Amino acid sequence: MKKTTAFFASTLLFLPVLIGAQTNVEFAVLDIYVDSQSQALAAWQFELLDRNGHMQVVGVENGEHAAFDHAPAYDRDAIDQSQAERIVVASFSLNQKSQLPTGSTRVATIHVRLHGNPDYQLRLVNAGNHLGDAIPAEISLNKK
Amino acid sequence: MHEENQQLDELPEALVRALKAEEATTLLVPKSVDQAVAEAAHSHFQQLTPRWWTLPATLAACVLVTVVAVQLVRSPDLKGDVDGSGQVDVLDAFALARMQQTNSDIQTADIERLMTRIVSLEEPST
Repeated sequence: MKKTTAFFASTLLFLPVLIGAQTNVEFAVLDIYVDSQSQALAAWQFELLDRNGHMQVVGVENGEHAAFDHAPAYDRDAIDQSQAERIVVASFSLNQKSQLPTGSTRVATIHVRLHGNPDYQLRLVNAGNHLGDAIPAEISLNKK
Repeated sequence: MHEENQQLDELPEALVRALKAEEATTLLVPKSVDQAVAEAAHSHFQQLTPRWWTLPATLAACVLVTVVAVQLVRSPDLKGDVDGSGQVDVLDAFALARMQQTNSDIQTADIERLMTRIVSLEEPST
């Protein structure tokens, strides 16, 4: 009887650890940067996914520059329904050239839920200057 | 018929005689005229006989139409390609927004719709 009780007690004690090890759910915050170098960045669009399929997007924030202080466009329905295993985010600003960012700019912050080790794939679909011309730019992400 | 005869009885007799004589006349088509018409018709329709190249040309046209139709079905939906870049992305929405500044026919809802489409996860990856 004592052995049985001890067995069940130890199981209950270690059960949360066992469950945690199996699901391994964690949340991550990803800052997305676009570097347009010397060109004024007026529009951008990127796509983010996890090659391992362990990522689910749960939120999107706007970036740091005043030109993009409004919420970027993304598929809100898919996120609300927890069906966003990839995400496409885009935004533009009609500000004058002098009021647009240059160099490296945090354009968005993505909140994700992970149930495994991710292998992020981040792709800059397009970036444009104040005239609407496509410009060369680099995109990167920084996990907070 | 009875009504017809009754009507005829009411007309002047001379007219009735003339009408009855007209009914009795048989209209004949001379044989020479009949033959000439037949020959003309035969000659006309003989000219309409398909040439040797008609069938291959018809088949080629069918193939061409089919190829064009398939290409149209396969082509991506480029409606919304405002800047003519060949793909629909944020620069098209940006171009539309810039155009709106000088064209009041462009509605803000149009721009929002385009942006919604651009970021939709139901759309294939650009």
